Amino acid sequence: MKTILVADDSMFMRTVVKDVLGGKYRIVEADSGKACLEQFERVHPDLVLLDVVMPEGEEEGLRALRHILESDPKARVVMLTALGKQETIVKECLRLGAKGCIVKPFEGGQVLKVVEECLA
Amino acid sequence: MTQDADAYREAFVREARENLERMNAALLEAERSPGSLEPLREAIRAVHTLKGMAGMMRLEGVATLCHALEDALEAARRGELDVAAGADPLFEAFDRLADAVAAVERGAPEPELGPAVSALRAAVAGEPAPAPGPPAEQPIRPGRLEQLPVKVERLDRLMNLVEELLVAKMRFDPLRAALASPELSAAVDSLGRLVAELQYQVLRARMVPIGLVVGRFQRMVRDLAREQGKEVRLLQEGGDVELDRAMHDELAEALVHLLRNAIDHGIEKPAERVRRGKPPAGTIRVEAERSKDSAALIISDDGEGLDLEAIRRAGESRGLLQPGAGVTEVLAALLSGLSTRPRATAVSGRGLGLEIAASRLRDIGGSLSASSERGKATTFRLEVPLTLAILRSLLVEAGGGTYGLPLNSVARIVSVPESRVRRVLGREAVVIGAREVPLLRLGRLLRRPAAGPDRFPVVVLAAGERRLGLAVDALVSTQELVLKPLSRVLRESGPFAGSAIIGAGEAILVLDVAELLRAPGTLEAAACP
Repeated sequence: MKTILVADDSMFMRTVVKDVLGGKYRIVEADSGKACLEQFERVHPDLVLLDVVMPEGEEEGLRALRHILESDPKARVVMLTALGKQETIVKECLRLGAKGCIVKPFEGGQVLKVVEECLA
Repeated sequence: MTQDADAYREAFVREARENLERMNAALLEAERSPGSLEPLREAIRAVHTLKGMAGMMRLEGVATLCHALEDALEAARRGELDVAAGADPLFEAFDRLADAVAAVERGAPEPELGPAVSALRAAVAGEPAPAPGPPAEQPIRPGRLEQLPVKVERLDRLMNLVEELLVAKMRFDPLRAALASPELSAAVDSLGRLVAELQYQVLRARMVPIGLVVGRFQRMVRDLAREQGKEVRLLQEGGDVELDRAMHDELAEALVHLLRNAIDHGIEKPAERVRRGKPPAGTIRVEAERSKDSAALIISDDGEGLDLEAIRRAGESRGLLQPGAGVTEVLAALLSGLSTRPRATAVSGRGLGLEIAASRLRDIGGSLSASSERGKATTFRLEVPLTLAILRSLLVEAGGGTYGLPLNSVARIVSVPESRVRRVLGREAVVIGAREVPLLRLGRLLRRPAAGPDRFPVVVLAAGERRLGLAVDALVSTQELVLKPLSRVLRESGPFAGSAIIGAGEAILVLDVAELLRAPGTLEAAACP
């Protein structure tokens, strides 16, 4: 079973994602950018779902993304971001090397599809 | 997002409230320190998170209002909106969001937030605010509103005014007696009836169902249980029993301790429970009962019960219990802070929680008692008066002063001749009915002893199984007293629960019956060196 690391400071969001993906994937959680990096080094997940805006701001998600890719340039990361300023953020994430972006609010099927495509 | 809508809702409500708190705190900070950008960024992040969550819950109104808030806060960050001068519309919007979250919690549909969005956008654009609509979350029936959200603070102010009015009215009583005018008498009587009715109605407006208190703990119970690898269900019965809202906060504190105790010391781990033939998940039941002037919360768990023998041993080794003490004394020792746990857990410390809970309850005229069946169950019974404010009291005289005694702890009043007082081991007692009751002379206790007549009134105080005869110089009257809390100094100077104003504005002290009953021998010994 493949492992997905879900990093979002909102437990509500992690619960939603876990419900959609649990059963098909092993889910590991992190509630901050720092915890995300620690978990990444520990479990070497097949995919990271990473929230952009965390308690320390937009930079926190982007910083985590940069660190992950520095540590493993082949790491597969999909960003989660809320509706709004997504255009600039999506561009920035993709430029840094994220495989994709999911905009909240999302449908369960949408997440599953993106995840499956990324892991194919 | 099709699964378990309730679980989502719970997580959503909790996190939405956290974010609302962050927003409020950050905006307050921004208002206080104009020009500082970090508070604004913090507010934007919280709004942004809430917006994302609202989207997932399909709360379109909340998401739109959050979006408008983000725009406003971004404008402030760019210096285009002066937050120090105009934060009110933003706070307003926060409050509407809080209303919406409360609606979600109740399972009600999302309130209409369109007007709030327009109001916010207009305010940010510097336009005059549109006429306020009706409160968004209230269902509107043709022609009238059934309910209004009222700030607790306003009700408290109203209650304070009623108390002042009551005291003002009492000052007429001695005038009426002194002047003996029928017109004055009739006027004072009708004023009295109106004040009493007003007081009753204001008290009713402050009543809230107990269920609201218990509901707040579902989350805590779940999290604590999980931390300890236990499974616990919290069930509730009688949640519609109503209590004065001042009592709620007090109850909530005691409940925290009792629930933590039940999870920490009561409920066993699932494997252990199965071995004992119990279902793996433990149950904590909170039942509410109401009698004429008090309410009781009964908190029971189906865990391992109290180890009375261990408590007894611990009590004896520390000299807190006499060898051969009965079950009642053992439980009393537990409630006064005795613990058998060799090591404190992060959760409920070492029995001190219980002592704090019990003493807080005593302070507000309540009580805490326990019972237990080894291996099966522990039950705590927590009793509180329905309201903190009004106390029907017996006024007595002792040592030249007047004191109040809560009437609901007075079991009976008897007249006792000095010759019937027995003295055993330096303590006094009288036989009342078929029972020997310890006797306490109030004048002596208050260090104002007077050579008494050879016959004096004894007020028999009762709480649970405990009895105490309080010898006084004279009975004055019964009266409704408005109890005011005491300063710390006065509180520690003797067994007093509070003060009250009687008749002509004279202040009297109201005795703390629970304290008197707790250890009459010790108290008296301490009071007469």
